[in-house]
Amino acid sequence: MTKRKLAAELLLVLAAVPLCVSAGSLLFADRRYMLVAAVIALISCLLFFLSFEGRDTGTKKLVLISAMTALSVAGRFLFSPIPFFKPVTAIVIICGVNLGCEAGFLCGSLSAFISNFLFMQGPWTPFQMFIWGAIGFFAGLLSKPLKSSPVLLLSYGALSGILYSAFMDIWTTVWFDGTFLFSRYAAAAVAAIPVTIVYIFSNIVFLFALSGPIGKKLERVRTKYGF
Amino acid sequence: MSNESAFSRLHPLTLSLWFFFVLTVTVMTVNPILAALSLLFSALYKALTTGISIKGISVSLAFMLLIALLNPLFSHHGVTVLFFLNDLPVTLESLLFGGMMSLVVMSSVLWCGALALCMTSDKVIWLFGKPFPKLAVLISLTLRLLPAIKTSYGRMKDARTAAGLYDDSSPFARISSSLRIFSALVTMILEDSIDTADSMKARGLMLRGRTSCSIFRFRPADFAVLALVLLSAAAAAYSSVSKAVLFTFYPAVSYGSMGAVTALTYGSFALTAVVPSFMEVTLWKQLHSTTYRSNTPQARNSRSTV
Repeated sequence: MTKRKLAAELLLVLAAVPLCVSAGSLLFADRRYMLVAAVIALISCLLFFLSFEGRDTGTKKLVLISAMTALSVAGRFLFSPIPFFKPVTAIVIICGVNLGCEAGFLCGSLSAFISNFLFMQGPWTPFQMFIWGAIGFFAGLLSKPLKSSPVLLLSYGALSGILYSAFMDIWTTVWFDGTFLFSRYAAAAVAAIPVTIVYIFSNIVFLFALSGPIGKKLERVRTKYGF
Repeated sequence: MSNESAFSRLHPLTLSLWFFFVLTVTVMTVNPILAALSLLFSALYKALTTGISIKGISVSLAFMLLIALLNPLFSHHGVTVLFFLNDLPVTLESLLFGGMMSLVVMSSVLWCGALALCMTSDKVIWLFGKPFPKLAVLISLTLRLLPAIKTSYGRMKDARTAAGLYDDSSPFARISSSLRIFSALVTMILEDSIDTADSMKARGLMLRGRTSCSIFRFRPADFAVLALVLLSAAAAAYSSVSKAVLFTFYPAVSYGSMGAVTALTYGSFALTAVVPSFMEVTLWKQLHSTTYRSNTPQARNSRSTV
């Protein structure tokens, strides 16, 4: 894809945000927040995918990203008997730390997108794609400190669990009411406390167990095949 | 085994526009008639494809009742106060809005189930292929790896169980045993992925002018469904702007008068929403006729072997 075509598409997506927001408030007066929230989550993912299309990614890296995504999707299944105890966030963080921001975002958002084919697609998919993508992206951005200090890595995992839960509660609130009611959000957040604790615990356990081995394996593959 | 429904034989473009329209109306509407129509036809489609059980219906009804009854506890708008709870008014309008929301939530869940049934991953890859070629490659690579991972995981687990190394006596032991296998799986998948990458590169991945295989054809039925979707979308957009299907709950329940535009909006939405069920029923009729049977893959295979 040429630079100019990419710029045109980026502009189109950027123009789509205010267009959707105004169309939403015009057409669906009472429930516009839902539409606006979904559209913004979706558009930020699309923006990222567009810039990914424009960049030159090596085939090996492309396949490694797909391997990490497949592993995190598979992880969501292998551990499905234990509710909410999933290695997805941990693998997304590992991918971001070891392969960079872009790989982290792609691994996170595609894990949500693909695993929902097998669980269930729904209006929550764009939100999951966004929050998992963001967790992977920031893991890549903070890769230096996260790589050097295991304590920081585990804290980042715990924080991701809290952020994931808090963000999905926003979705729940907006979906049920169409607008954002703080009392409803507080109730949803309080109701989700046990789940949030499982998220934090599972992220810490999986990061503790997997970050070292997978990090070493990725490093090994990269030195062995040189890219 | 194929659980393909008649509706999912439509072109991915038609299907995606259809689901986009129906889901948008369902999720965004505050009109109880549209929400009820949506629930009716989504439930009908579920009954025709995956089937419904008494248990499923009762769980769904309990879920809907919960949504309806919870709303007045959070929202205290409305003029008809039923009673006070902790000095906060519980209003009739809020209860009715909760009831409407339960219709919306239930029908969106049912339509999402239909979406999962009809929009299979190959159709999604086709849709993404044009604007996002790299992303489409990434998604199809990942989807291809999943069955491979599942098989290898099963083999590794069997091997470790046979060697007496797989311990599932306690949840903790099970997690640590699974993690050991998972770690081996990671090594295998990562090393294999480099071979895949080299092979893909040798075959000219990402070269200019690359085309993708597509088995989808745009049939007359696609034109019909697409026209119906466009008509109902236009009617819905017009009546939404002109407030012909306006329905407000707060401060008091009020709705516009029933005019020709309103009737057209409800009618066209109902017609659009009934399309999957209609196609499902006509498919069964076709299945009993010989012309259809002779075109199934099984029939073609048996012909070629004979």
